[in-house]
Amino acid sequence: MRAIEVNNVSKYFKGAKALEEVSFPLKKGEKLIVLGPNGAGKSTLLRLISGILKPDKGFIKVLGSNTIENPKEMRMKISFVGENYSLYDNLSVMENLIFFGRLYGLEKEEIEEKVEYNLERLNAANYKYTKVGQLSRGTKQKIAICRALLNNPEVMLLDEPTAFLDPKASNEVHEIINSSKATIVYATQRLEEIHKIDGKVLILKKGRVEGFGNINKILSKIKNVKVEVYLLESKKLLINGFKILQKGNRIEAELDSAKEIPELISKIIEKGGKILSVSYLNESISGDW
Amino acid sequence: MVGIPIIFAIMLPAFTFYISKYAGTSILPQIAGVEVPQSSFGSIYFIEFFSTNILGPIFMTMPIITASVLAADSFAGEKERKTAEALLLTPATNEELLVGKILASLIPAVLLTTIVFLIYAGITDFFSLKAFGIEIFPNMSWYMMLANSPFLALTTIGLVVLVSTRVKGIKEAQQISTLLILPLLIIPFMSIFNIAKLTLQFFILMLATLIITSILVLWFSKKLFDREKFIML
Repeated sequence: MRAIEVNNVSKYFKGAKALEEVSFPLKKGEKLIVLGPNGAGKSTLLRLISGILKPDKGFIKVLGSNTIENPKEMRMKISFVGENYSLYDNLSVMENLIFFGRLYGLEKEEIEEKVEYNLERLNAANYKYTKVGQLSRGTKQKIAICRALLNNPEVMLLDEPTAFLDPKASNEVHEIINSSKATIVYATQRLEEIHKIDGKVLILKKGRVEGFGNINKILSKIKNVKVEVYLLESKKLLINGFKILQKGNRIEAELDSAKEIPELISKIIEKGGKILSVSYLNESISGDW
Repeated sequence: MVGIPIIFAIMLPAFTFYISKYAGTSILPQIAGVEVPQSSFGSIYFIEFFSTNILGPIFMTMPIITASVLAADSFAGEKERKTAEALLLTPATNEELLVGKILASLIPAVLLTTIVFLIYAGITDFFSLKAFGIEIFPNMSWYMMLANSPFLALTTIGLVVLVSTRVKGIKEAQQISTLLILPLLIIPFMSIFNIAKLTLQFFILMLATLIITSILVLWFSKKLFDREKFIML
């Protein structure tokens, strides 16, 4: 069964195009990474799926229902983590989560139980009774994720949920997402995240879909990628066919597309290089991408 | 917001008593257009007239002012604090959100007004009993002003909530709301400026007008509440 069906959806804000003819299906339990630079329409797409925005053209079905026809019923089954953590600064973490949990019709005891469990998983149990206003942005983000798990959602919409998190906390979030049975749409502009979430990728550029499918299928669509490779030893390697700059044990490579990464790695190994780490240099997809 | 009305509720009746005792009979012809003899009877007449017709309407502005301050923070406050999106994405319906926001302003506004009315009546009676041996309150006007207060607050809240859903921040909501609630302030001041007499008929007419206006304003608030417009402002 399809959990999400986005069918030929367009959205305009005061005449300016935000999304144009976006279509994709997502099966129950599948995870989708929406990758794109700032202004590509990622947040708009998530808000449209959530039902808070209405499409100007096309339609969206979530769990079989049109998003604008059964909003209350649909909102019971979905959760959303936006760019802003959307928490009340003058309330404690627990008070915030009880407030939102009650809006989902949950009993106080049930909320407290879920909060304990999820805060523990997110390594934020110490902040249960701290006022949200006193927390760091990263911790607030964790609390927002914890809130999104309260209603046992069938669909989770996450808009750059790791934007303010350190690598360790980001990994904790990725783990929660990968172990979740919910259908997840995860918007990001960080290239590395496409490898951390086990799912499909949708590339958005200026409101249009540039690519959709499994990671192998869309790697060629990710253009102008810079990667850095650290070797175990400072050994000069002669690698042909790539734009490469080597200083000591660090190799910086400019690739036409992300699809060339496995080929580059194979060549480094072929030439006797022992790889310590590989990472994207352009952490996020830039506007001219 | 709580301290100032309560201080006023204590101070204004106390001042009224001292004026009535020492200068009431000479002031009364100018404000009420009636001549009274220089006696304790004149002072009683003054304290009753002033406490009911001047202080009463002043305290009737209390639900309007309190409600407008609280209601301006309702939706505009959520927007300013960036909590609106999470709230709108919960299963709460538009009606539930509006009722919640209205009650959050209405209950404290009505409670504060009732407390202020009780203090103002108590202080007035304390002085008039001590000096003249009579109780002024509760009288018909006092009961009717108190009965009108929730509807004054409700109409104010309805107008301010309507504004609050269509602006970006609290300050903007307060500025526009001030303009919208000015006509409501005319009602109590009609008595102060002797345009209307505080008769039972006047209060019943005022109550009926306020009930109809508040229903209309609330209906419009519900009709015009659009989650998409609100979030995209």
